[in-house]
Amino acid sequence: MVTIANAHDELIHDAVLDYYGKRLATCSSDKTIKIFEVEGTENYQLTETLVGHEGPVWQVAWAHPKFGSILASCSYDGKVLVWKESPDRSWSIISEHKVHQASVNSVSWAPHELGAVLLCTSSDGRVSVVDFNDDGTSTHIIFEAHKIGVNSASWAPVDTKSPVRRFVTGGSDNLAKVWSLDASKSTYVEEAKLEGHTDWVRDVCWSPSALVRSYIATASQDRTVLIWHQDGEGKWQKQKLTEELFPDVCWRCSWSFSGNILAVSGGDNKVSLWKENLQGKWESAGEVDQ
Amino acid sequence: MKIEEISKTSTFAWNNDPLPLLASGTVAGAVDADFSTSSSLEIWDIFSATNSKDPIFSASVDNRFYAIAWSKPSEGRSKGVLAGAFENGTIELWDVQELITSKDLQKASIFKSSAHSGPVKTLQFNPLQEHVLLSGGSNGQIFVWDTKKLSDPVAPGKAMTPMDEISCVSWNNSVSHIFATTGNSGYTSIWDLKSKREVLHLSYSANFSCVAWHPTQSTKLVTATGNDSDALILTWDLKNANAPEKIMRGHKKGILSLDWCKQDPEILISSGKDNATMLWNPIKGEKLGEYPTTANWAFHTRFAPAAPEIFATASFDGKIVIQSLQDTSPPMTSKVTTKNDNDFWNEISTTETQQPVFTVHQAPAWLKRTSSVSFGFGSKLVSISLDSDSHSVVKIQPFVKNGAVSETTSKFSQALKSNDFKDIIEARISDARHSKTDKADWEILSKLSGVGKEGFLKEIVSTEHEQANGKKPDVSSEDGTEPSRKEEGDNDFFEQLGESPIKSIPNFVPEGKFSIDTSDQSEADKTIIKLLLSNKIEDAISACLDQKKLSAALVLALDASPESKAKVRNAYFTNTKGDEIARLIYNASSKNITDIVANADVKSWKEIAAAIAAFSTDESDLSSKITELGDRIVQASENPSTEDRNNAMICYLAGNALEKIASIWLRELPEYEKSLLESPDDDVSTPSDAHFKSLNNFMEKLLAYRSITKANDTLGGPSIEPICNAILEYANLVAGYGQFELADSFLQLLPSDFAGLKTEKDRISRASGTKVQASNTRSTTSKATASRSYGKSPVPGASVPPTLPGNQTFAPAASTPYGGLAGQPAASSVLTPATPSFPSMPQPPQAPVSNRPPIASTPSIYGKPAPVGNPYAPQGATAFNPYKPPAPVAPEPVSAPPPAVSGPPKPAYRQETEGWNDLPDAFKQKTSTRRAAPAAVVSPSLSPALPANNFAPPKRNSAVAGPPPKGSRSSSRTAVPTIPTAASPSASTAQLHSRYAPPQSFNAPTEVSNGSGSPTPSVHAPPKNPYAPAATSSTNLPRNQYAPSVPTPSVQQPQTPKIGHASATPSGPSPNGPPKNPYAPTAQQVSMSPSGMVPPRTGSYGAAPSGVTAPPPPKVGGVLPPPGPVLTQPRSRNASAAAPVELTPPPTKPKYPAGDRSHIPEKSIQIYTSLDSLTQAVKPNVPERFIKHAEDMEKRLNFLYDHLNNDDLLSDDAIAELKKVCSAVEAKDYATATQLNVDFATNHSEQTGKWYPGLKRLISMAEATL
Repeated sequence: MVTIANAHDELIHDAVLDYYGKRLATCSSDKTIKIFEVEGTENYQLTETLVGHEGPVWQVAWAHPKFGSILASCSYDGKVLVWKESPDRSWSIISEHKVHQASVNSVSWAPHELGAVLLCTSSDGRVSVVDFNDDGTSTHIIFEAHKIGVNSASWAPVDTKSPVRRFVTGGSDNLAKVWSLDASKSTYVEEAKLEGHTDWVRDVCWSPSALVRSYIATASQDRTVLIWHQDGEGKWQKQKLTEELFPDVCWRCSWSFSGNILAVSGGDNKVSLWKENLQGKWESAGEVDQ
Repeated sequence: MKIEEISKTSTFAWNNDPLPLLASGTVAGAVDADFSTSSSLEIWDIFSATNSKDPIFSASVDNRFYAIAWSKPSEGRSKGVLAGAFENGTIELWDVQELITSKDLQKASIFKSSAHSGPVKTLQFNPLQEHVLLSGGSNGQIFVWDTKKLSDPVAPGKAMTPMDEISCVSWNNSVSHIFATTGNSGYTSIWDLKSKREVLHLSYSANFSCVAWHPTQSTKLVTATGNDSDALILTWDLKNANAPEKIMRGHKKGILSLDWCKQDPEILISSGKDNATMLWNPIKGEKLGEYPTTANWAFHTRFAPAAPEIFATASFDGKIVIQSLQDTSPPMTSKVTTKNDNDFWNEISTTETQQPVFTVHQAPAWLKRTSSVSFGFGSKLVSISLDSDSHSVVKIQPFVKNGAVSETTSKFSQALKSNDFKDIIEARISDARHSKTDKADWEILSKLSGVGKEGFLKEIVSTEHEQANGKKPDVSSEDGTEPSRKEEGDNDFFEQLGESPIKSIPNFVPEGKFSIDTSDQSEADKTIIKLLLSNKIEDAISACLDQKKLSAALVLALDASPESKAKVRNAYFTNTKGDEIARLIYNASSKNITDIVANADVKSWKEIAAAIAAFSTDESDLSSKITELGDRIVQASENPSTEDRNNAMICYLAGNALEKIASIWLRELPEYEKSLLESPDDDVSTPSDAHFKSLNNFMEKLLAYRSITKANDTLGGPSIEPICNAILEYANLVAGYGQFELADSFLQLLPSDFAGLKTEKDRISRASGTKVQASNTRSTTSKATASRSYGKSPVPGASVPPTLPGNQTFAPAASTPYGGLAGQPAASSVLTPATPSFPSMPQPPQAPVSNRPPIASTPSIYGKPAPVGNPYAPQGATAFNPYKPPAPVAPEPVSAPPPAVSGPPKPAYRQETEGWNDLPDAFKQKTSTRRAAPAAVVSPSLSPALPANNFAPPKRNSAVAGPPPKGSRSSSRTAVPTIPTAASPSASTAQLHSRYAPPQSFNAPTEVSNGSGSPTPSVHAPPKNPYAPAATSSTNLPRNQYAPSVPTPSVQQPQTPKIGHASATPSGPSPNGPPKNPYAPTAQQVSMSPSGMVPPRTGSYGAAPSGVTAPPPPKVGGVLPPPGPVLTQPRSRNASAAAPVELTPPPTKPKYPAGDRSHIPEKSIQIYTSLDSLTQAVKPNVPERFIKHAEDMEKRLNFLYDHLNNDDLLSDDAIAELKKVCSAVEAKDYATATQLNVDFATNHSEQTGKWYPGLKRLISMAEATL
């Protein structure tokens, strides 16, 4: 187990491995992003500290390597920065996206089949989708998604035959919403409203595999996690991950790569793992050693 | 960020909804412009989807409000209770749900009381007990109300301090019976409802106006003063109530309202008579920011309790402004003012011209995620948690779902390695309880593996006989090795019609007398008899046919002409239409069973299969026919039964139709998966387990089949895509569990151009930390491997240092999407995203360099590596760094005059620098030389030459190769010829340049000039100083690297080498120097080495130690590669002028991509197989510290393979010699091998190239390790 302590001066809010599982990017309230090379099962090395945000950095996201060694970050300062590593291993900001008027709470790259597309959610209640074009320019669509604030978003897995832009967002209005692009109007249309939480939806995560049944997990301030799937008629049905309340706020949820395990991290400082049994119920798959 | 504005001079209260409602009531103490005294109560749904500007409830009330409070929902009050405190002392309660639905104030009213004797100034519901309300007003009256009982209020007890008007009350947030009050008497009083008294009071020099409790800590509170002269916010801890903890200054006039955020103790909001609304961190005692001021007193400000991101401020300028805590929008000036209602954020009122002034660094607590979790590739789980000191700790741990997967995959992995699937097959047969078809498949596979493919078909056929004939098939006794087609032999029809004699009938011998009397015969018979007797057989046959005497005609035809035979046959079939036997006879006799396969009833598929086996002319015919049969079986009915399906499967298996088999398996996957789900199994506890397992089963079958049939090529074919996708998915899953090796072995199956393959391979190789080996024996696949990707760069040159990979992946493509942003040269964008960066990068640098063609190529090689790490390119690399455009270089053409020396440039190849390639001491004894080398830096001759070779091989490099140069290039060529004469000196320089390109080259030139001449003319180039700076460093490097290699390219001549060294040493110093001064003395080095051959040099070098070089061996002249390079220099100058042009010429590419091994001609395949297997044998034995050498060797050999594959380098003679070398090495006769190898270099120096050192090294490594 690699344990990285004291890496940042303040709270660390996100830590993500790159496509190869070899590099870790972390971000913190200390306004910095750090990049570590992770070697083997024990070792790590800090290789870079990225300074550029003016507020706490909430989330980082690695782009698919076909676009290069690229990292996006979002911050309380209302900005999204896109960082790129050049061949001499130095990092620089290659794009600054500042259309939001408040904290940007999440960034996520679209499945690579859709291109270099970044999804950002903000406390200003809006969601922006930025397309980075080959010529170095970028274009974006921004729209109102959740009143009071959007906390997170997650892309739907892509059907390679007909790639469609589709994602789910979770907001401070206790809702999660599914959106898809109406290409003819260049707008995102609300496909479904997932109602079930009684407090902020902190995190949403769409299960990655398009082959197994597709799920959305929503983690909430109300100390519950709901699992959603579309029934035969396309309606989203919800199911509680567990009947009991979690001990504290559910901050994040994350599907394993094969989509079979859901990890939930909470304000109780614990990470629990869950899997669906053959009866279609979700059961514990253990806790992660902290 | 301003969200909304309500144009009312009202006090307000939020409710507790996450999307809060706001109730507003006309505030007392203010008068409208029209002196109206009306009063109203409204409820607003600011965040509703419809975003109406109108209240959802509005009614007139009799009096004006001092305060409004809104309780949390409680039993029977789904939207809580709204309490109003009126200026006339009344307190009234309403049920909000009722208010909203009935819109009737009276109906919704729950309670009304006039307990207060004067205006009620303040109200608050208890945060812990929703039904308890506290009110305060004039005359020191404080009441506690119970909205459940709706009875008269109670007083909290006895006051210790004088009470006048109570301006603010506040419940403790943790202890429900404690509250605080403040008023104009100068004290803040703490009350305990349990003891029914005021327990404590705070005082300060100023009068208090408001009070608020810490959201969680029971003893902390904050107060504000209302004095204009001393507007303060004070924090207190009741543990020491004598003095405030913190004093916060900022308001310029008295403070009217405070709210301590419930969700974050470090956020507090205040507003006051200075019209300001301010944000504070009361814990640290800091002011965080200031919101736009209002035009009059801001008398009330509150966070929305459940949405603290939002707060509202009411002011006497007639507005309630709702805004969010944060505003990161750009300065006002850039905002567009609009009156569009939908765009209300942009609507800036004229009175609020300023932006909030903020330090955004302090984010609210509710945004500060303290824990997180995410998955990473390769079965990793990343989590963030807090340690005991509340510091974040990140952990990355392996994440293994359960044992079943790893067990399954490890068995699979073993089977793959040993290429023995027996265990798996057996396990599956006994285990395949979930699906009949699955079991059948495994049984078939088992049979197949037991008897082999040939035997398998035989078996199908034989069982057919058993069933069809109901007897023991003869075949069973036949020798199993006998080809199956013979087996059907027992089909009598065929035998009778065929050539084979009829065993059971004795030869016919005419006996007795007979008559030819025709009198009693019919006319027709008479005719026949006549014809027969006259030996007119053909006519007789026709006559017989006319007479329908088919058998007679047939017998006759046996000895007749082919035409007649055909005629009879036709007649026979025509007459027997509809007769099955005849049909079969037809097919059999025509040796064409297409008809049977296509049209016979598939119920008799086994018979058909037998026929196919009997009649097929070759393997492919058999395969295609039997596959067709399989198709027919499948298509025979709309719902093929399991048996049909199994039969078809047998046919496909026999026909080697992997695609079809796999597609059937794939089609059945979901079903299989379902069956797994329905039958409990230890291994399958989740749906995804089932999915994995079914895929796993598919893969096992697929690979078992391939193993049995000994197929080891990659998959191919038109309809292979779904199968490949399945494989890719499986590989992905397996890799996801961290089984990289296994995953990689599956990827080997895929065609190298399959979409997504490269990425996946790359990912696995990087994640597992193992470099995919270029040497991979499966040539096709190797293409896809990461290492291979380099091959594509224009320069085949192997030299790419192994270290690079890391950078590469990241660096390269990146540029594209973002274009210039990266700061990389625009050139990069050219690349397709996926391509490894190499190719693109090099170009920019080249341009400048362009002078020499060879150079151009070189940069590319080194360019990439740029990362300092590159062991091979140390300093040089930096100098060349592609990213730093070597602008200077390009510039001018130095001395134009390329002496058109001569004709065709010679190939640069010859050189072989051993230098840096040399094996470390461990491998070789050369140490001494090595040492010398460093010093020798200079040794121009050798080093230069080598590099040149490596990079410049004419054929390959696009730029370089440039076939006979035209125009600009011409100059360069011209130079070449010179070789013999002056060449040597120049050559060296040239070479250097080529490698490192721009910078260095110049030194050389200078010298040249010195020299006499011949070569020099061109050489002079030096003028171009531009290169100089760079050159220095670079030059040195190169040399060092190559210097060591004693053997030097010139191998042939013993002398040269020496020279090289000699010169080297002396020159040592010079190297550095020279670079700078183009013409300078430094030149010597350059000149020296190469040539030794030409007299001129000495002269030229005079000064320089170069003299040493002298020994130009005659032979060299011809052979010497150096010249080539030399030329370049001259050109460079010229070129430089022309440079742009030259550069551009697109590099000619090898016919086949690097890494392709599939086109190696027969004549040279042995070289490849032999060297490659040697390499593989050597590698594991190489000591760790020499791994890089081994890798380099392998890389170099790959260049050779590329050449072989393209058949573009080695002559037949050379190939023959190389084969000898290979044989010698294989025989472990290293001495001979070495000798042969040296001979090879001697005899075919022009055909050596960068690969040559690889071979050399292989020999020495083999000697050392095998």
